[in-house]
Amino acid sequence: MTTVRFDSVWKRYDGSDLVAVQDLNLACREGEMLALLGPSGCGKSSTLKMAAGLEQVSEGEILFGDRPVSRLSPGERNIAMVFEDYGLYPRLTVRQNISFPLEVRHFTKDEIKKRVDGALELLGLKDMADAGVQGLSGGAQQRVAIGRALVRDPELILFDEPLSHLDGDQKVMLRTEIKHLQKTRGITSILVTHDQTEATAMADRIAVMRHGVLQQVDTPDVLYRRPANVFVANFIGEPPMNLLTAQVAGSTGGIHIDALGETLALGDARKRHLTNLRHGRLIVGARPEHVAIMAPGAVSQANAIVAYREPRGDTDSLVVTPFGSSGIDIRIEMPGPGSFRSGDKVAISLAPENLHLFDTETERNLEIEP
Amino acid sequence: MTMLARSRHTPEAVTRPAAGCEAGGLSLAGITKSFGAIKALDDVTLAVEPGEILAVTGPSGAGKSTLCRIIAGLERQDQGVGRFGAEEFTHLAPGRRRVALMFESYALYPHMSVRENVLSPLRAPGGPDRQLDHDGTVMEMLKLLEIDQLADRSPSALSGGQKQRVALARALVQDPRILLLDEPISHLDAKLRHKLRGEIRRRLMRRSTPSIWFTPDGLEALSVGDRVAVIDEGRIEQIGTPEDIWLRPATVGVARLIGDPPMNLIKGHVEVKDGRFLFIRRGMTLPLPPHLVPVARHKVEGRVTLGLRADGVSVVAPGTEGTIPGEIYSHEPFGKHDIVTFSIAGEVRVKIKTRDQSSFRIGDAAALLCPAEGMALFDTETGKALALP
Ligand SMILES: Nc1ncnc2c1ncn2[C@@H]1O[C@H](COP(=O)(O)OP(=O)(O)OP(=O)(O)O)[C@@H](O)[C@H]1O
Ligand SMILES: [Mg+2]
Repeated sequence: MTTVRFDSVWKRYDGSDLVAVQDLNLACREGEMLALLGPSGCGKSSTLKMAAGLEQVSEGEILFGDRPVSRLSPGERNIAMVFEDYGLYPRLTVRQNISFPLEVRHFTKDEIKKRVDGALELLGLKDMADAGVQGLSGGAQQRVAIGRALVRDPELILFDEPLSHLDGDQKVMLRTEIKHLQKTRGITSILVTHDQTEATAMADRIAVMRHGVLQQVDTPDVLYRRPANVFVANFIGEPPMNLLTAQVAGSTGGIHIDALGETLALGDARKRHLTNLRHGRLIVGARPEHVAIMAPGAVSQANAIVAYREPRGDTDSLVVTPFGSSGIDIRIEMPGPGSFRSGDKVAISLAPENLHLFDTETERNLEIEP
Repeated sequence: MTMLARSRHTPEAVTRPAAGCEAGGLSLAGITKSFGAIKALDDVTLAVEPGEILAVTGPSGAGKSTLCRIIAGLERQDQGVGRFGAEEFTHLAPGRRRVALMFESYALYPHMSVRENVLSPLRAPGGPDRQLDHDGTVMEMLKLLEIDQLADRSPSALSGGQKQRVALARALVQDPRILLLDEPISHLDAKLRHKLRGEIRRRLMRRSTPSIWFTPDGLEALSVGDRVAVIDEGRIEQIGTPEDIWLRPATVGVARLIGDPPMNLIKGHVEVKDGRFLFIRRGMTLPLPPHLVPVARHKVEGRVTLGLRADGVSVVAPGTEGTIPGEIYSHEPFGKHDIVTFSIAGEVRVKIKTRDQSSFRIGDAAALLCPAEGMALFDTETGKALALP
């Protein structure tokens, strides 16, 4: 097993002035699964490909343990890769594809059979062991690719979107199994994914990237509860966090939320974070599941209208527009299937204890020391 | 199954005005296709109204892409016909069907820029009026999909998700008789997916032509479809509104596909003891709730599969009256909810979605509480939801 360290790594592609990865300093610990997560085009795959040796490092160094690897070919790195486009040998069967890395390394026949049977069983491929891979569905091909990576017991496994073409229960099952395997065998691994559910379920820590720049790296729980800045707050969590402009109201820790025309009291413990704000302006973050919604009644007057509803099985995801706010939508999640439909007038409210506070200019979380 | 597939949508599903006379819905009748010994599609019958969005979901290999390719004319069905309105189209060449298809594999022209790729169908002979402001349309679409800054790049210099959006833009700028989107947003992050699901759905709703949105993600299907068709092993398992599919899955296959995590499915049998109907398997005895008794009555001693919705069950202290004993197998905290895996008699794993933030320790003894609303019963042999005969 090994550790992986990116030491001031940069990536620029030839013929492009865009910086795909900028001054990346990041370490993956021994036996850890580290996820690289971020929007499309943020540099996740570029980072992984540099670790794999499929793309050159433009500047900086990558270390496996103490060993600099940026000049080594992929074959010299003892890594296994699972990429989204499977990369299988199209003319070989499932079994042949999985045994291939063992055969070229001259494992005994018995050992090969044992390991390959284990992988076939684990990945639910037993019934198709002797089928050619070309006729298989994308999902099945990806399971073959995962099997081929696992049988070798490599030092490091790099996953690029391994589950993106799998469906419902296979995805849920496979992510638990990959996690289980990775933990029990202590395989150091890096996972590139655009899917935060996948990252949360599988990774010990998640590195969030944006435009080639690392934003925050921490456990899924910390990213969710204490996002370092507006970008992470808005990116982690589905649907994304609501970000609303607000104004400090008086010296008592009150904040006036523009879109709702309502002032909330933050309490003494938190009001110290509200000093030094330019013109007393700030951004307030509220997760969709923390916005309360009710049918208007005696206690709560209607203050918004439902613009759109998405049924999500056990949850309804709503978009509501507060009265008198132009162009501001608030996303709400509630247990589903619920009874609100577009056009309904509703009463929505925020609880101060669930609000996140950000600086308008730096976009940093006001309650986290830089 | 065939009956379900043939029954058209429920009356409340389509409320949009019907379109002009030249617009027509799409209907498929008895579409069957085999590749060698594999039956990719088996008697698929469905209809999509003008202006309606049908979401088609199913596991990988279920036949989604084959269906897509048959409608587009890239593959020929062995049997069955397709019609736009009253007019049969399944004998027409692909170029004459006016079908816009977004491929799962993107299929971009490598020698053209992003902008030219998106423009290409508008310029094709037989495409819409050449005099229109196509550049404006294209740039507006690229902007919506957040790739306008990439307009002059070539596809080889794009990331995976960027390529997918170029392919999507190329499909959306067209004005076809039917729009087919094969996994249009699978490669994007949750935030962009959330945005595009809503934006694209609202655009498609304004059209007077039908659209089909194919996705392996069951929840995405619930979110974007006026109705949802679930397909498995080439057969339509259920067509219904998102609520129907979620609350009343017609088969084990449907239940297994929808939700994160999907419904827990546990095999066992029905027994009657002291006049009470019980679901029984090793380590587990569960009295059936009143609403399941009428259907269970016909399956006494028969093999059934119990469905427990992950959000319908909860973990409580061991020994609680009316619960099933077991232990905590794993625990995944997701921020707004946790997923706890509960192990019964060391062999059945039940996933529970809970908003209760208490700590769960792996290996701890606990008990499973199963309220009536979260339960369903299926016939293990046929996989169908138990119904009155
Ligand atoms: N071969 C290439 N030549 C030029 N630019 C490239 C090349 N490959 C990627 N890029 C650019 O580098 C940036 C980072 O791309 P990368 O593939 O690392 O993104 P990603 O985070 O994996 O995105 P996705 O989730 O869409 O796959 C993007 O702006 C992309 O357009
Ligand atoms: Mg990528």
